[in-house]
Amino acid sequence: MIDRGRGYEVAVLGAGCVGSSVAYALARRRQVPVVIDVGPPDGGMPFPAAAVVQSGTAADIRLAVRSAERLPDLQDAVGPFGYRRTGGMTVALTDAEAETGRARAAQAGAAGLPVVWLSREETFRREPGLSERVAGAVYCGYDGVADSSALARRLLAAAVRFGGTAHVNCGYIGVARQTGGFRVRAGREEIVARRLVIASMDTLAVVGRQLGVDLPQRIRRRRICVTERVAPSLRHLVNGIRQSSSGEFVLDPPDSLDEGGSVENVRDLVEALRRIATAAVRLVPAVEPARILHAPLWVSAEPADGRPAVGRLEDDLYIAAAGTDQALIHCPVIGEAVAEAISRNRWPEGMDIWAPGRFVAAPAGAGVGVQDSTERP
Amino acid sequence: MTAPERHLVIVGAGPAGLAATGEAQAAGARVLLIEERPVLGGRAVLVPGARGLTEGLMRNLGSAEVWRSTPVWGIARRSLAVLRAQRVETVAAAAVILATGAPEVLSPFPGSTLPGVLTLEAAWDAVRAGRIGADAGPAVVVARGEHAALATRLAERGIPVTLVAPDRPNGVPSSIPVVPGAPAEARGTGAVEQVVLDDGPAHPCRLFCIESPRVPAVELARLAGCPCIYQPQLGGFVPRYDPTMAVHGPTPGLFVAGDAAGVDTPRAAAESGRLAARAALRLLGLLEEPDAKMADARQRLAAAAAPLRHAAREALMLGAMPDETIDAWTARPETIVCACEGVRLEALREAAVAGAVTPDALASQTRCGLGECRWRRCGPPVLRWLSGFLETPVGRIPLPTLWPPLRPLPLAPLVRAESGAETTHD
Repeated sequence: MIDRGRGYEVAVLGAGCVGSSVAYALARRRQVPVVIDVGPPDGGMPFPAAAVVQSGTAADIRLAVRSAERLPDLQDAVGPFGYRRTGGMTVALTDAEAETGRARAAQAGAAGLPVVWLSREETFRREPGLSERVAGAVYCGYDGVADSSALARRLLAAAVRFGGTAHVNCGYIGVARQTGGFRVRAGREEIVARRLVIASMDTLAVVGRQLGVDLPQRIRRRRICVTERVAPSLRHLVNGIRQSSSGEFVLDPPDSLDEGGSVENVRDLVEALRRIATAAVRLVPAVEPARILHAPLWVSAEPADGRPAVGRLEDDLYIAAAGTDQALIHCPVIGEAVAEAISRNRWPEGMDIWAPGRFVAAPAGAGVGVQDSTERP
Repeated sequence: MTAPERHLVIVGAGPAGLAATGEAQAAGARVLLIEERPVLGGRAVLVPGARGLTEGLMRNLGSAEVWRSTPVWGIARRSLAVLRAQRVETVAAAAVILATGAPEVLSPFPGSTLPGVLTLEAAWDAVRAGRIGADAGPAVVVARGEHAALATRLAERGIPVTLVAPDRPNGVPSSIPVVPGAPAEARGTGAVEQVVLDDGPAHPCRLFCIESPRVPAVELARLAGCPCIYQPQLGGFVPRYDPTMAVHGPTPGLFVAGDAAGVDTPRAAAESGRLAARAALRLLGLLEEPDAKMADARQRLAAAAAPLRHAAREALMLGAMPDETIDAWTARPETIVCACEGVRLEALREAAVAGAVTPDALASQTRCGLGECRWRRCGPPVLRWLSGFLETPVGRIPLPTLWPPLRPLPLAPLVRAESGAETTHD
């Protein structure tokens, strides 16, 4: 029975940044993964995405720095994916915001993290394109931008060069347990694998039911605006605003969450765009002459608290899932960690903060999953 | 609510939009007609053949409110977001008719993105606007039948013209040389200087006008959630609609009319506009003798339509399945398919081989379709090429995801718009 499908050491379900990164790290350890996705390999929106290190808890930032340090080497190894370490600013416009920012920077600095407070003058010196209202900024030199879609594709292609297999565009995934592993239906292919890594929350929603595992997730809906190409004027990532090397601005305010369900009246759309445009022009006046070409509503599933979920759910079943933004900045470390756990049965230091066990009311031990309490807005 | 509610908003002032407006106005409805261009009439006032019809329809507009130079860039149910005189405004109505027309779309070939290479429609636009003088030539015009009138017009302006057509169309003077062939390549640095036909020598040329297939503009309907179906007989993907021109989908009171519902004759476009207007009026309770009037409008549409297109439309209204033809359009690998982003066919092939087998995946990998025109020019050739590459019918390929704004939207008017204070009527 076991020989009916092709056999692999590990099956990775999901060909986004995280899944492809896990596959790449496994393939380099000669663990022969197969990556399966219902659609094409894709890491998110086709516009330059923000790789933000400075947000989250101190433990999150520490891991993000580790990833950011790996990204340039990764780019040399797998091919270009548009990563630029631009440095990022969270700009304060009022004295109250400045006070909060200064405290946050001081706290992070005390924890030994590369996050500093920039005075008004220093902020202007580094980013002359900012509005005069700026009162200062929390700065992190590790923040940057990258094409997350290209990152996922490059990692997957590299994994295949190291001996991995990709079954993308398979249209359907079905999973069942069997003795000594899992049987995976990927479109017309049948695959047998000893271990399974669920590498996206979307995939978990599908196969979790078949395997009887679940994690609470939330759906993030956000509107972003992308402008036409204009003369380069912004060097840093500023409050989610970034300018690609070809000149287009991406206006992606970090707080434009949960716009609600379907738009009933077009006024809601106008209001959403007005908020984004007003916030952007207030910070970066150079945006104003540009025209908006795209305002996609981006929908993605992520673990309910917005942080990555990485760990073991059951004996040979692993989860490695994160929202679009988190996936981009954390995928190098997550990939290495899962590959390390699978090949040597140990988790690298610091990874326990993302263990899925945090969603269990009474933790049954690090890295053990749960089977209830799904929240789907 | 500062203004009285509008009964009907009509998008697009071609023959269909004009006829719908006139019909609704005559029935006493409060109508708003929105047109993106500064002039009314749509394609019918550019390309000869339906000028008389259009001028007649324009005389019937009466006191209907008309917004010119007003692009519609967003839609949700029956509310529209427009850019009018550098202001962002929204309008809503009890019924909306989308009569957005069907512009010509150039089939790409090497050099087809050079300035000076135009569709017939764009060339007529330039002629009418007086942008083409005697020194604009020499010109090469690729057109059949009555469409060859452009060659005659250019020759009258003193421009040396070569007409590319299988035989000499009626009315083309013998002073214009006629050669057979099809466009193979345009060459030049900065602008077209020379064109090569597929079986002939190179022609010196500074104006290359090519009659191109017309493709229904369905973006607004798609953004409103209407399912579309592929019917080559009607010009490509068209919204599904019922015998009253009401579109399928989540929103009642939304209609489609004219060439946006399937390319047909200008008269048929006007009659479908009239039918849609009567259906909308019936919905609003403003139509007297509704059954007789609807039957009359349907009869007039049938009489005005081209026979094959009429059959295709009737089938569509009854719920026909998508066309199952596998289209294998192709071109030389170096052909730029997406003019906005400069994406070549070889780049698309490379991406498709690597697993990008939907328009969205191609966009994310090559940026095809992500420029200012948003798939309007590259969509049809890319879908037809993908169909051949995947050996899948065009109608089964997922359409690229659309998101607003459908036209480039300046930030300044958005920032100026005060929160919740846009002029609205709903």
